Amino acid sequence: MSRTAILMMISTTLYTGACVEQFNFDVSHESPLLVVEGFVSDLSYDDIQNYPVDARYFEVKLKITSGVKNKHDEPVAGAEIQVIDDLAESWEYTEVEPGIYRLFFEDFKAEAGRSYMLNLELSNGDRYESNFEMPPPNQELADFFFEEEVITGYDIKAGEVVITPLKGITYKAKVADLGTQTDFVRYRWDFTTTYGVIAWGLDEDDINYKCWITTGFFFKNFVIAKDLEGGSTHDLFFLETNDQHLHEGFTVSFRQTALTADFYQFWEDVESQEKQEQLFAPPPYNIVSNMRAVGHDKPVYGYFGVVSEKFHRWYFSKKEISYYIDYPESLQRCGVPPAPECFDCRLISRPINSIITNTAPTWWAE
Amino acid sequence: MRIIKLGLIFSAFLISSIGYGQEMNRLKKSYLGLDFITAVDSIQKENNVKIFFKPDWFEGKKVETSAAGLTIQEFLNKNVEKDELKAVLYYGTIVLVANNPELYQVEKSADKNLVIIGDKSSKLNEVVSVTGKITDGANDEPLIGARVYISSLNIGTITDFNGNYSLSVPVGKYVIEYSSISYENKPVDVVIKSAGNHDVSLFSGSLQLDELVITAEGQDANVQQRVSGLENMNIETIKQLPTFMGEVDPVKSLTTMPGISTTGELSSGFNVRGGETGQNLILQDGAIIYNPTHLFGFYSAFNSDMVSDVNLYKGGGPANFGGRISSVLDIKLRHGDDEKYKVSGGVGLVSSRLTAEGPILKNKASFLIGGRTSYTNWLLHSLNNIDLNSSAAAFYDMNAKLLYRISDKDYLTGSFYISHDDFNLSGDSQYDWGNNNFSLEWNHVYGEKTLSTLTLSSSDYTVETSTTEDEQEAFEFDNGIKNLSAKFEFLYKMHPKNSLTAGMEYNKIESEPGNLRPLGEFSIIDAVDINNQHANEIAIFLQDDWDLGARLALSGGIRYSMFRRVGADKVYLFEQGIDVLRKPEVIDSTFYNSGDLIDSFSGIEPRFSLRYLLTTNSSIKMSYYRTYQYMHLISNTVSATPQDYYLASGPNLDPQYADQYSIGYFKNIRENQYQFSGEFYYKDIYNAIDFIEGAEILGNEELEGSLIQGKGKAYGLEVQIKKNEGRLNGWISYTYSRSLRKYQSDFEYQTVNDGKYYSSNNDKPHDLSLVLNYKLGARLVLSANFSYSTGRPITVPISKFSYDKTLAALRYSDRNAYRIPDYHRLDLSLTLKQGLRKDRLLRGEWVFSIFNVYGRKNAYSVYFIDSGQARKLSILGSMFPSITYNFKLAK
Repeated sequence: MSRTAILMMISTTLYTGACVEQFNFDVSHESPLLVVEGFVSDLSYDDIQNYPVDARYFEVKLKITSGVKNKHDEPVAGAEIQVIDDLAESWEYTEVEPGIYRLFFEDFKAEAGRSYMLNLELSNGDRYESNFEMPPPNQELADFFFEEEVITGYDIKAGEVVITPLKGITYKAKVADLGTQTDFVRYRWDFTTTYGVIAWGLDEDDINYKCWITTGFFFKNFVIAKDLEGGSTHDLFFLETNDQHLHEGFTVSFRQTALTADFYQFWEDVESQEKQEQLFAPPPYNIVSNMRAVGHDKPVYGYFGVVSEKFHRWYFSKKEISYYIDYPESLQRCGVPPAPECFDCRLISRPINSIITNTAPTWWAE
Repeated sequence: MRIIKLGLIFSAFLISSIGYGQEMNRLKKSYLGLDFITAVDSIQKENNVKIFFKPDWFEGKKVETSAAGLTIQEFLNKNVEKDELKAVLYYGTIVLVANNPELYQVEKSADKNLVIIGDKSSKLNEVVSVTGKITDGANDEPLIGARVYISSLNIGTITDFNGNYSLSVPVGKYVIEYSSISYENKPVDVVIKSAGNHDVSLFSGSLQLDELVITAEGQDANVQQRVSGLENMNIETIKQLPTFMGEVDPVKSLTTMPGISTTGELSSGFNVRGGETGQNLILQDGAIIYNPTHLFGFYSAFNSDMVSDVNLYKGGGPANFGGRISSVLDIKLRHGDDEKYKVSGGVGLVSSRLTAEGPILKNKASFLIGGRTSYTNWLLHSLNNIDLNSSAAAFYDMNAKLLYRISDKDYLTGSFYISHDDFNLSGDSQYDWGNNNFSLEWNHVYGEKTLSTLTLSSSDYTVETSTTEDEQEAFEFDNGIKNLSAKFEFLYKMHPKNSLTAGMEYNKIESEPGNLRPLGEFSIIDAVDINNQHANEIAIFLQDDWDLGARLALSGGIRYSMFRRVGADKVYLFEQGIDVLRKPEVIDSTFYNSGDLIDSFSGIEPRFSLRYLLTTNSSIKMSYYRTYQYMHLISNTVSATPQDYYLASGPNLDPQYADQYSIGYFKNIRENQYQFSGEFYYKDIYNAIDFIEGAEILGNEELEGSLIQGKGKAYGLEVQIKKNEGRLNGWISYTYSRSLRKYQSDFEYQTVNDGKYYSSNNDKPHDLSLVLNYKLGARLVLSANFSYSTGRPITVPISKFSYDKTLAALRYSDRNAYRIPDYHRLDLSLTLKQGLRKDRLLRGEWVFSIFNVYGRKNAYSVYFIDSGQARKLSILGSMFPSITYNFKLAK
């Protein structure tokens, strides 16, 4: 329940005219600062081939903070970056595009019992480094499952917002039994969604008849949780079963990472920032970072994490739902006159920061 | 001079124009037994003289001394001697004049403030008895121990339990000073002609206000008053200020006075001279009120129909108050009428109130009982919004006060207060909180010079919170605080100009910082039952109110407070030093059994206020207060919320204390019609509390490790200009003030803003209030209230960065480095009273209010959405008209 909703409620109760307006503070005199984003895990490029997900090299992104507007962070190019372990062995990153540095080592991974840190030098000579961190022990994948639910939500009917029941499923993760632990195991789950779309003006054998859209923003960014003994269950997301994205294939990749205490604190800070609208939110504060300046005192933000990870993929199937889900007729027709996307699936509208392809992913299962 | 006196007499006398040329002639007749007036008429005729006299004086009077052989003047003098009159020659006439003509001069003078006591002249120097009753002008309650003093004779007395006094005094003209502790002096010019009665009403503090205007009663109190920094508002004045939804709020009304502010619109609590909301001691009939609002600040916790007086001491106040470092708000409920039954109330759109009072035993015992309730849920349930649809918001409160006069020297009052707020959000978040207060006061008068007051009180504030919004994070959370108090005060009138108060106070405190429990089978919340904290606070105090001379007056006191925190409790030892990353971890703990001493503190709290009269209508005042606070309000928000709780001083938390200095100039002109005051203050606060970054407030038994203590300072200039009389009256208050904090340490986690001074949450440099009342007619008053203040400080996102799928992780500014928009608002109200006939059974008034006349969208708060962009939330962002009907039903 957000602060806004609460106060609106009180004011509505009292016939008052609460309103919310955008307000701009003049922060133009504040200097931008370096942000470091990156992690290494116990799964190398080679290891990850065994999972039904796209392979990837470890990356580090360097950027500077941007104003609180709809503006992308400006990348920081020309840096020299390396990851160093506690035995002083190092691996160099390669800049693949401005501000994006990739660790082109197929077999590199964070070994259990070893610590790693990031060291970087910007083109202006400023140096930064992270704390040494050790990957937490890898954990069993949680038991992922869903339950059918009806929740209350909003819908638009005749141009007006109305309250309506929403049928769907709540996807959950039940942490595996952890046995006897002396410290919490800290989890983070994030989700990457892929779904199919159809260009109805083409024949089925046309290369642009069917495309696949992949996005990390279909659901909430991430869920974090910590558990001592295991067995706790956590809601991950709610999926409405009459969602039009479900009908040409719908799959979600779950990444489960085990975090160090400090990295968990980082994500907890990120999450708490998103709750600043809460009525009883604590005073705001800056997100903790494990990066620090070397030889100067310029603040630096972001985090270089060392984690353990596992993956799980789930395909939505109408058969698993207890009730019938109709295919909307509106999705099967081209309009009059037909829109361009009716003849090229790659033109179909998609979420920001998503990827669309007319080639089925290797792990795609119809 | 004599000519003037005679002239005065002439105007009222029968006049004859014949001269008195044969004054030396002897009278031959005796006239014995004749009516005196008839005899004088005969003498005039028979001797061709004119004798001026007032026939009223001699109605029924007979001639007692024979006239035979006497001159006319001798005859007259012998017969009127007993009446304190004499016959004088005046330009050939004889005039009968008073022996003490001053009495008659002043009687006929143009001095409208002159009071004549007695209806006929007694003999010169005859000692007569002047009696009367001294009452509180705000509520007609008798004042016990009030002083009556005639400085020219150096005689005086004090009132008894019923407020009555009796003073033996020779007839003549005097200035009688009426005074009482915490009330302004009231000098009254009197002419005492004979035994008689004179009743007086005194008003506390610097303001004396009647229903319509600021009255002439004691309007020089702001100049004369000994105590610096006392603000008082009469409830009738408070009721007259424009209201929001017709709901009178005594606390908010005080914020029109200089030096008193709130952090924002409809916020809970108030701030005094840079202090925090938790640094105010709020008392209702001696019992502590921990949460002075309903519905998160929309309504006041005080029922205006039952409040008689609102006194706020900016600073520690007299030495008999203690425990908070910023202010004391002392609210007194009135007594029920002990002669008549009365009912009063008000009907509003979303709440109503009802009060009943009357005698239990006539003139012996009375009751006063009142309650308020809201009825808002029907509105919520009819709205097309899920959250509002399934929500509920309601409150009720009830006060009762009983008075029992045991004897002329003893009386008892009992005061009860219960309140409850019920707030449900979307059906899944529930907030319930309530007060349960009781106080018993026993007053005993020992004699003319001494009286004592014993006050026993208890306060119980409890909060229950639960949320099931997220099943995994569903929880119940309880917190609260209890206080048992005993206070004994002994007042001794050493001398009419010197009153001594001594006493002691004991407080037993039990604070429940929180009991956090998972709610439901799916909740993963860890149960945390933070140990209740137990403490005892004992204080002894001595207060002397002393007029050191005609110009100099001192109100001085000293308080010695002792605080003991005791078990059962577990106290943590936290790591310290450079290894602490964000917050210190617990490295050890000690458990104390019930009653074991955990830690103790004490402090000497000297306080004095000095007044020096520059002229009869101007003065300067200086004050110094030291105050200690051992219980600390922990709040993670700018405005107080129900989840706030108190922590006791102990091994990890030192007491806060403050030194406040002030100097002010007070000036009245045009016979107190206009008042001016300017006061500068400076305050040092030691061990001020703030949080380290990322402190978790709720259900954190290790919270003490996340608190930091540092230095605070506040200073400001308060100016007020007031017009007391006339159809148009009111005041303008302006305060320039700063409230700053500083946390500097060798360790980063204990340092805020690089160890520099920064604005506290309630630092608002400019604060202006304008209150105007215009009497349109006998029953119609138009009131206006304009307020302006600088926006409060805020910490804002100054940039953002993306990280993984989080598009905007925020980078915040230094703490409180920015400000929300300035605040200003104009309210109007029109009060229409029903007929002025006093014998009406039902007397009512309509109050038409317009809140926020020009629809200013003031910020209730500024919050930030995910991207860091600011959103200004205006709760009362448009004009709000309202109508309230207040009534009184009395036979």
